[in-house]
Amino acid sequence: MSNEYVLEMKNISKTFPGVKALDNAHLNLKYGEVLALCGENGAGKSTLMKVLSGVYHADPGSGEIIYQGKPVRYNSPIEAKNDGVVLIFQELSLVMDLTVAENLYLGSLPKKGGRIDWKKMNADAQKVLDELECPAKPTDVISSLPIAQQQMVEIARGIALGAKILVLDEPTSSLTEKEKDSLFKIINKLKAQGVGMVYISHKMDEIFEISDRVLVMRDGKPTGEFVTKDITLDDIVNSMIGRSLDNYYYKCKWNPKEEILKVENLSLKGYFKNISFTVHAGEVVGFYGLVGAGRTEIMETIFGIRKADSGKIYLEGKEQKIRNSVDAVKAKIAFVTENRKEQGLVLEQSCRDNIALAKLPWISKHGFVDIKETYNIYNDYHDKLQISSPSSEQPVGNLSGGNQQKVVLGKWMTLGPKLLILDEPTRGIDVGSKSEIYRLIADMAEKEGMAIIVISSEMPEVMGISNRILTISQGNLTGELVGDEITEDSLMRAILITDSTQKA
Amino acid sequence: MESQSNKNFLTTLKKQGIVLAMILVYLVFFVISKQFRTFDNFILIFRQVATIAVMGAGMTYVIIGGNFDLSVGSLLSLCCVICIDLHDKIGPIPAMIVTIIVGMASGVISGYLCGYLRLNSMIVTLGMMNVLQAAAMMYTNGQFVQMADSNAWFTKIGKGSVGPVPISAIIMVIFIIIMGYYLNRSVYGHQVMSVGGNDEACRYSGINDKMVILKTFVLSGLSTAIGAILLCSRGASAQCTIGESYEFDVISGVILGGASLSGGSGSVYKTFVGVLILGILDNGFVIIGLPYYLQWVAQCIVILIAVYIDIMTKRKKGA
Repeated sequence: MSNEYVLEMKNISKTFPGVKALDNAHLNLKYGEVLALCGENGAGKSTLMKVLSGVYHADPGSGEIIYQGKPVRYNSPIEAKNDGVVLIFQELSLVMDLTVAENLYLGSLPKKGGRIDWKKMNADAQKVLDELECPAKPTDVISSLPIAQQQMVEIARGIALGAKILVLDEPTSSLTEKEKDSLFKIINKLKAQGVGMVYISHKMDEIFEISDRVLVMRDGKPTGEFVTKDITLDDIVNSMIGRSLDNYYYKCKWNPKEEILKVENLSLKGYFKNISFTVHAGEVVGFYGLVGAGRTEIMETIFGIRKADSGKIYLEGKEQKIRNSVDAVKAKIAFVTENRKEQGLVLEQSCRDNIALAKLPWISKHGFVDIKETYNIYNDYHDKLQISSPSSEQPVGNLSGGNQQKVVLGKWMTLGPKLLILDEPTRGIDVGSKSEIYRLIADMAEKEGMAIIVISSEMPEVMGISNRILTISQGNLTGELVGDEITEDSLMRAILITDSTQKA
Repeated sequence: MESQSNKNFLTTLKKQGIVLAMILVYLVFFVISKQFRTFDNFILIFRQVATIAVMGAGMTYVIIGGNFDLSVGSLLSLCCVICIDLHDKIGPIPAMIVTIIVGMASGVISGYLCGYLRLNSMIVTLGMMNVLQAAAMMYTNGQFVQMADSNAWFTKIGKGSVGPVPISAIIMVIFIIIMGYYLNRSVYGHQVMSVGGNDEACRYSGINDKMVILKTFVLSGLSTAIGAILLCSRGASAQCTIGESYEFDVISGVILGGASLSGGSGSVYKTFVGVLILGILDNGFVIIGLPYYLQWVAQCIVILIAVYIDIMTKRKKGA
């Protein structure tokens, strides 16, 4: 009976000062299966995995971890790793300046006569890489590899150590579609070898594609355990948020008014060519395409971060010369970037400072900020966007992804933009907050009459919230779909047709 | 409630720790030395730190912006010799104006290289340090420059007093209050903090981050020029190496004042307290007769402790 499971975690509780992060959680993992672990941010997924790997210990008197039939208790992730329990987080733990082979055998470099046996090390490394069909060479320096291959190296390192359990935390968040496919290939291969895997993700389509079973957590407790092929998205979402989301997506009523943005034959060598489209007040236009298709670059050009080689941009019928983001903001364009932490927020600064960041020149007299007004703005948007933050002075870096995104939205809403561009607005955000963001987007188009562009690579999302969808493939605008024309089939085709025609 | 007020007390204590440290250092010398205790000596400390404190106000902006300005020592030398030399040639007011223009122009160059071309500020200002020193040498031919009348009204800026209070100390305090208020309350001040915290996010939020950085260096240049006026007017003379190693004292003061070395936070007022601590140590060590070279060691230890505390509080926040 217990032979079926490579790992059993029972009655795990973990209390932090003031918070019960885990409350009698359990998790069973069979040999050669992929168990998806879902839950909103703060549901306890990571804590549970950290208890497994020895970063934290369960509360005294609670919990039991049985690995390959024997109770274990690790004191550190390194100890766990050496025992075959390997965790791979979003932030990779590779030494960037060393080669692939050196990283694989770091800490146990093969030696001959007191010196490193380079030949043997590289040969061994090649074997592991071949097994994973990873195109990287043992002598490649890590920093020269694309993220996807770095991740493979990290997985390869686990394999080289003889991993029996592999935990993958949001492994696809920075991968392209193609890279994701090769990752899934590796996962299937490891599955065949009997490795048990825990797959943590917010992306539902991936969960359905790769997992055998799903374990859902909420408030530190498991709230549902399913066999993936027997359930639907609703089942997972319901146990995740504890209520049913009747309207997960919000689509605003399509009522396009005057033209806000017109782009004519915009081209930038190496990124996109001859892009022409319009966006009207009161509509949400989706930009659908693969990562790297040039979507972000088009928006950065409109926002003045990049300079187009040719083409014209009109706002409300007037041609614009936008040289930088300062001009863009003056022209009432707002841009919610794809990387919230790098490009959206000053993480150490308070929520109040971040929300007021772009608005400062407008709430000042003779160059001096009206501090009281910044509090008013914070309170305003705190209520409007339902940002959950203990206080206005809380550093924004301490908030959850969903709340951080709301702060970014708030920052732009303060300016009352005419055109709002959102690049992957729900990346890395839990299901509940996603839905709130969708509602906010719809509201801004419908009630405030903004023209809104949403870039997304998630098909259900782009279909669920857009009035109109433009498809982009390899730098070309390949289609425009409205109303009933919007189907999965037509969207896929708009991308695929171009791919094949361009190859031909 | 009890614990809440306790906690508040502790956080204020932590926040104002630097002020307590200053009082502590002062009290130690106060107890040890009779000479230190005198009122004249108390006033002397302010006169001593005036130049460094004024320069520290500008440096605070640069460091909050995430850069360093190593060129301020050489710039101080250049400004001093120019100001003294021109005093007799074109009169005191024009001389001061030229000095200030030179200081700000030097800041424009450093600021352009660091802000617009994104060169590393350590390298840029290390280069500027040599260039400005060379300029000071060329200007004076290595000679000592002196005003004809060592009692001209210009010298009152450095030597004069209103009642017991030195004029230079008054100028220093006014300048620091202005610079501090400007940092805390102006749009520009907020932007410096934000750009220092995350320049990319600012660039994507419609802030001209390059210009923000450039201006920090201009403010540093301005502060240095004003510091130079306070310094050279005191002696009515200047040597082309008068500002040597001042950059070390200025940056030390800013660090002691708790500005983040990676940018994003800091306070002009606390920098002033940091500079005062160094000034008190300097003054006290001389009075108790600690050898010159040991003073350097002691100063170094104080700074290392300050940086260590800075790192520890950050680590705690991270955990």
